[in-house]
Amino acid sequence: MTQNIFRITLLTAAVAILLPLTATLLFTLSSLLETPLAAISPLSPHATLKITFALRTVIIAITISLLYFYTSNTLAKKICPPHLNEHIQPWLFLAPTILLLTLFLIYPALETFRLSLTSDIPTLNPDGTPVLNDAGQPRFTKGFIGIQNYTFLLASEDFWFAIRNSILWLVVVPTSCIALGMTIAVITDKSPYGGFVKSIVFVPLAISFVGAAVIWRNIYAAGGAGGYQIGLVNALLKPFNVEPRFWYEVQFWGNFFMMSILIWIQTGFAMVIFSAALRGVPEETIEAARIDGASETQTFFRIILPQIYGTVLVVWTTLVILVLKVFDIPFALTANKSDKLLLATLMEQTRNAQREEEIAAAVAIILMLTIVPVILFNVWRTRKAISND
Amino acid sequence: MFPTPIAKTRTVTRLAYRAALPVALVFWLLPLIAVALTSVRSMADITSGNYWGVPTSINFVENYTAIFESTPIGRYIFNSFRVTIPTVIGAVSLSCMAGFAFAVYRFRLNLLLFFMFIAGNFVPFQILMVPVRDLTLSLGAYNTVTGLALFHIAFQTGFCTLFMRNFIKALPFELIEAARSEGVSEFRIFWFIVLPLMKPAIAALSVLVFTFIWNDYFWALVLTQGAESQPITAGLYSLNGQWLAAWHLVSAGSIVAALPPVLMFFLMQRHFIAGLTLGAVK
Repeated sequence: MTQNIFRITLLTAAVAILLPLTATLLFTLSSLLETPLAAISPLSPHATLKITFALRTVIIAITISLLYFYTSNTLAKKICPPHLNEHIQPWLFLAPTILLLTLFLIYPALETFRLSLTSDIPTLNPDGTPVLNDAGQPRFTKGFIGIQNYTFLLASEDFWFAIRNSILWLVVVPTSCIALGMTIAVITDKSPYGGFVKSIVFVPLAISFVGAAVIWRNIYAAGGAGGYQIGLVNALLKPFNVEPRFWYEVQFWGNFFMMSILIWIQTGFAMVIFSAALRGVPEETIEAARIDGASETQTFFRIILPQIYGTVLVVWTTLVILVLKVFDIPFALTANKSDKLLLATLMEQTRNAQREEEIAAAVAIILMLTIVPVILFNVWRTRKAISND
Repeated sequence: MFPTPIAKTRTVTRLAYRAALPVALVFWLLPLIAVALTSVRSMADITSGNYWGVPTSINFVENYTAIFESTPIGRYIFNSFRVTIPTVIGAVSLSCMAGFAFAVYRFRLNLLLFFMFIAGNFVPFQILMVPVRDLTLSLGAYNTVTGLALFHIAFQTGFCTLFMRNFIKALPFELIEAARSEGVSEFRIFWFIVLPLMKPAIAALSVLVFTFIWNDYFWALVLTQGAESQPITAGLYSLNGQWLAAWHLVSAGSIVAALPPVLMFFLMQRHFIAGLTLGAVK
């Protein structure tokens, strides 16, 4: 046992020393090339330096990762006996990923939780009076304050607006995307132009949320020159004497105009997945229903839908998680009034505009908690799928 | 199957059905058509209020050169590529290896770790925002393309690993067993047997990750500032603020920003759809 531990430590140490050493060596060696390269390069010295640096980084990173796999595997074979080697193998493949995930995912998540329990509190002297700085102001240090950030949030009006709006988005967006996506998938299933129609519906999915928001601003905007309206909606409504306005800024209903942008983007996603699922429904079941005299609607709801129910659920969870994280669309439209807040925009507002990182952290934790049931549901579903394998 | 075979329905319904589809499609593309149209209008059209009529002149070349000359949009696009390409390479190669480990080996923590990856896949990125920003600051990677790419790799790896694991799991395991009994080393099995079979998955995942990263705005906002390192999504947002009334430039800018992923989509449509389906259904 101790021998095994010794061997594993030796392996880790060898890899941990060897790789950074090689990387440094390669970097130093390749930096020697810089001066001659700058002399012959047609670009400015500064640009040449930057480009060669980027190239060197990429090449060295690839070399090091290949080296990592090659040496760790060979070393594992040399140092460890076969039965131990078997146990080490998977970790050699997983180590880089786990390292990266710990640094950038697990640690930050825990740190956010810790942060959400702290705040700036006045530093106190032993006798209970606040410590003053040179300017005579009380000095603040970060300190543990329990759940006060959360109680503060629960008492704030903006938070409840964010919750209300998030629920609205959660109900409207996934439902509309699924309904629209399913309708399009069903209609185009056997149509000769199906592929073309699907491509068109799908295009918005390739556009960024910010891009889509900017594009839709052209549709919803108010204002213009010479009595004409720049926004399509306002231009169309002009003959009816509707007062021009920024439609996504309208009290309460503006939310729905922003939702329509996300629906426009994500319907393509639902449609593609449903199309694939529909193709998997065995034709015999539909034939049988038809022979038994079922109407088209009955066939769809009683025969087809139950068979692709699992897929609908997957699309729904994906969209729910996506909606909870939505941030770009309201942010890019600067729809930051209280009645347009979502959890994600509320968080950015507290962090950036009000500089309250700790409260922002508390919002993030609440956001996380709302997603936990969906995650558990997914883990449970995957587990079932795995045990069925 | 569904809907009712067209021949059976009445003529009116049939005509309505025929007409509805093109109308719906035009409606769907209307925002894009509007933007494309606005992007070629002249400044004179914009100031005189000719927003929806026939453009008096097609200023395609003028407007698109104007945005590249008067703004750092070229720089933003270059930055986007600098972030996106290393991320695609990094995330896909790391996840190939991690996915291989999850799919091929049976080890004690396999399931536990695997479920952690699933969970990590769903974590709202907001929860990481403040610490990741501090972390990149202390690593000296704040406001650098490298820092942004590094973080993207870490964040995408969860999803990519799931994707790859499911794909490798569906490959015939006998191949690997046969190679093992021949005494082929694990690394060689990965490199010479499994990796070539993963080509379709690699293509699909690359296209998908490319679009995700190109379109990312949140992390660009948190981890970078200024034209030196910001990608196009963040650039578009700040340009949007600068150009408030210059609608033709805003439109041209948003078209330019959307072009790479849309082109990618049309060129690699098959892989894109395969990726989405594989990523969601499994």
